[in-house]
Amino acid sequence: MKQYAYYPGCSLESLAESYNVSTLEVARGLGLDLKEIEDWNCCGATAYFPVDELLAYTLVARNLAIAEKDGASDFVTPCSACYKNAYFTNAYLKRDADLADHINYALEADHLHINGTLRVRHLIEVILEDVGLEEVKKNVTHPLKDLKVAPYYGCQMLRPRKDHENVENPQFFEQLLAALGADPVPYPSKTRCCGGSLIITNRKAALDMVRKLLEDAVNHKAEVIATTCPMCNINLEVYQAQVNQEFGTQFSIPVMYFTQLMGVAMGLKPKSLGIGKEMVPGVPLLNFAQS
Amino acid sequence: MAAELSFSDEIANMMYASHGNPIRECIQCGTCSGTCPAAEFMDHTPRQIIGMIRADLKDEVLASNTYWSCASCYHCTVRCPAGIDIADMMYALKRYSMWKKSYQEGLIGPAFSESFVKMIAGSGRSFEPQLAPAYLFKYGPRGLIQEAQMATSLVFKGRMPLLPRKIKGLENFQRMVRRIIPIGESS
Ligand code: SF4
Ligand code: SF4
Repeated sequence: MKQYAYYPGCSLESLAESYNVSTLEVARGLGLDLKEIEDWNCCGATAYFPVDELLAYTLVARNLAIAEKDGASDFVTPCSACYKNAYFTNAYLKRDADLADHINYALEADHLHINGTLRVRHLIEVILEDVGLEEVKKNVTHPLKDLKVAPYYGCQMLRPRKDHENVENPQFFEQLLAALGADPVPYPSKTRCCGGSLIITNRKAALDMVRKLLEDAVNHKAEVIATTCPMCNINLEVYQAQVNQEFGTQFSIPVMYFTQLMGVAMGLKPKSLGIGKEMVPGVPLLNFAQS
Repeated sequence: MAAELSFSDEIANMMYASHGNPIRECIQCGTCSGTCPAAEFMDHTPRQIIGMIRADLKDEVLASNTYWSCASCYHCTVRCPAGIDIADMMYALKRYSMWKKSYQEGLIGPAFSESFVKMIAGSGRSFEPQLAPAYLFKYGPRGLIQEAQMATSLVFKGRMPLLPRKIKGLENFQRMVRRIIPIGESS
């Protein structure tokens, strides 16, 4: 069976640990063999690029090189920011021999070398393409019948890639949710930005961006927002209370990882999916959980 | 002797791998500004900043908060009809201003990025609480209380680790980092 080099990324060790455990549980249920990359390092999210571009690529390349050395063909990560970094580092060094030389000179100090042979993929892509919707449906024992879910794509999973099915109005997340029996709600902001690291560097701007997203999802009758990225999840979930304080709003909409929705639909125990650690309790989803 | 580099060239030189078109191709259509979710928090819109770079208004650009308000969402980049990678250009402007040590007072972005890089060089992993001093002061007492309340409930929910993690092969990792940028004896 195919093995995937699995890169959880730093958030999945702390604030987004639920994303990690639900990923591993769902992968096990679907028969996906994820092998965590040995001694991986932080990929830098969006914080290295303002300091040094070459360093940013090199730090990402180290993780890819370890996976290559281990004989992996696919690199998979559930974090959209990690995905974007890994995808583009891999793509750039493949078409730019000079960049590859620079990176390899640094990697040599860590006894590593990168060739750019990996396929870099987001977890949701692996589930959709390698497992497939039919197989997902077969694993659904507790369909999320009529649960109104707002699929939130965010940015880095889609952009700046331009070779995606449809950058402006993708449908794959809706299809996955429908396969779980849920009712994906259409809302215009699904690919708008959550503010990313502006939540730290420009709180005012980020809270405003989060507010607009929550408002749009709620106005379209969503009961739950589903995410594919720890940063998006943290901004929409952990900072929801601050949005309410700042704008006098009363949002109280649960924000869950798509893997948590999958797990519940597959009849896995909520606790094994990290459910119960939310700041906004995931009640509408829990109604479907096996008791 | 070569002619002095224009500001546009200097910025272009700050982009190593990005494959967008040069900003002289910009037709000033404003698609980027209309798309940008952070535009209303910027001193100058993305379109204006490009115009200012082309006009060699270096001091004005360095004094602007525009690129430090960019969320790197790449929405402008995928929509630009002239094929300019505006989001990567914003990163380049951040690097330029860090390099020149010249940025608008009171911004958190430069300090945040710097402490982030130091943290990674020191441990190989990121750890939220270590970043706190870099930005907490900015939000004043009310922000501090909000932040502390939030952190407490996160710890209570078992979501905030209390100890930082380190990678095992730290020594080789740091040798690798030093081949790119000089780092001091990291703590
Ligand atoms: S979208 Fe592109 S061409 Fe239009 S103003 Fe922005 S950078 Fe210039
Ligand atoms: S990448 Fe930056 S400049 Fe471009 S639309 Fe997003 S926030 Fe605005």
